[in-house]
Amino acid sequence: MSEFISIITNLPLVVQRGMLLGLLVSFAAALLGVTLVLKRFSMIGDGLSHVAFGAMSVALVMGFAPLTFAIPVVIVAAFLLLRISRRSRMGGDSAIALVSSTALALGIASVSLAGGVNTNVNDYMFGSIVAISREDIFLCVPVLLIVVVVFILLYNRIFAVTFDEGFAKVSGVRTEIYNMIIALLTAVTVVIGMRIMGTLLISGLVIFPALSSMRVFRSYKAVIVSSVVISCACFVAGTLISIVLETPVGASIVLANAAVFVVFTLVSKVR
Amino acid sequence: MENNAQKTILTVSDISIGYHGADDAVKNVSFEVNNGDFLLIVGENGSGKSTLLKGILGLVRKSGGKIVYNDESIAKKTGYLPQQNDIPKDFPATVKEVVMSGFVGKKGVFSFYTKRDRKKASDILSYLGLEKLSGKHFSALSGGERQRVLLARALVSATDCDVCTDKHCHCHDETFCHTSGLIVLDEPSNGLDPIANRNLYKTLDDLRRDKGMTIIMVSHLVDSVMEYATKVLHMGREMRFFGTREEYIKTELCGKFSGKESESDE
Repeated sequence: MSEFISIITNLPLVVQRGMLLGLLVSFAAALLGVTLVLKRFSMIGDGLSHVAFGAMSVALVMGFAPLTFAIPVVIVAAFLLLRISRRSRMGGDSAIALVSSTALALGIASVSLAGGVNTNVNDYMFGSIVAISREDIFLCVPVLLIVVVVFILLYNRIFAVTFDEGFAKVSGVRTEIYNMIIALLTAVTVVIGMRIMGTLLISGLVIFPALSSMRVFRSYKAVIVSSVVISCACFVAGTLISIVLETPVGASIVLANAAVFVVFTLVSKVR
Repeated sequence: MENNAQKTILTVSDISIGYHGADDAVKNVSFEVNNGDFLLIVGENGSGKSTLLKGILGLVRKSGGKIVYNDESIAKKTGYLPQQNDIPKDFPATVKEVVMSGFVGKKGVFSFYTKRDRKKASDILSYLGLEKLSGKHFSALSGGERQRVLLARALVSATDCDVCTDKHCHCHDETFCHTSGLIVLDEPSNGLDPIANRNLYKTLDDLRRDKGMTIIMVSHLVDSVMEYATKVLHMGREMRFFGTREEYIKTELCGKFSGKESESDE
């Protein structure tokens, strides 16, 4: 254990900063992932990451601060995606695919007009542990802590709304508000998380821990706790692997999650 | 309990419900529910009976008419048992977690369950003979067991001394307050075998007689449940009959509907 701690403390400051933020993102994504999977909202996470890419690319081209521009844009998109996934006549998944591919196309087009793909855009696509600035930490850490605290405080209501929205509504819970809160928390987590994980892989961080845990555990609480543990452990393992093997960090973390999913699936078959 | 003075707790006046501009699925329906009633809503598939129920509960918007809870506490003491296919089969939850979620409308937004809540949930599970299932995975239960667990959750929601409007309430019954709550069930017999069905109806009847509960139930099966009903509402988009069970079984409508049910059973 002390050897492990010394490896971490000997890492450059910029990597430690990325790891701190990544751990918080993993924690928040795991909490939200269980609800998103169970409510069949997994595609919303994926759609939001594409919108976030579009927003950040536009911000880069226009000279705005990427995160401060992208967070409100993605929050608006989250409400929109939530609405169309439940009410659209063309079918929720098709509507989400439509919005996310348009946002991605907008991002690519604006980058191309501004002179082509540079390091920043590449980082947004595939993620980077060293792309996190001091300012990013001051903005993102409090926001992610709020995400985690809000989820814990609303835990019982989120369970009730996720398990049976009709019953919760009859009991006097304003279910639309809780769906919006979940969409809001997901939007914030996805925007911040895609800096490390990349647009193409952030949804893996949201969905994998929940799906792995649901293979083995049978109570909601156990699935939530297990998802958080898997998510954080895979983040640390994936980051260290990426440092040693010099592979992209987002891909390494998702592959670590995929390995856990295979192991948990085998465990569930053996039981 | 059964001899409590009958008072009207719910009045539905001329209610109509339509989906997305289509023709009304429910047209101009009016009826009253009294304290201690067992109202059975029957009708063929597509007759609007589940839509009517959802309209009463506020789950779908009505296009006209009025729904009035005459006793203000009843709205807070309503337990809903939805159709089983409204609940995902692979949901990771224990029986206890499901039953405890019945408290959700009674607690503040940022609150957690108390020792008293846990005791009440456990008392209701015992009342329904489910205490041994408490730690089991909800999805691993049989259809009949799942239905009873959802009934336990509805009971948690429908029984509460804290919202009792009787100023002289000294019943000290922390599990079932002496004033009746309302249990609303949407096709609870779907997918259940005849024995599980009978057990469920018997339990509902006990809750009405012993605990003063009021029951509203939608069902497309009439023969097996009719003996427990006190009132019947027959739907065919419009209201085709509303009255006591005794009046209903004398009607031609009842004879025809029961006949169709027997034919479809064969």
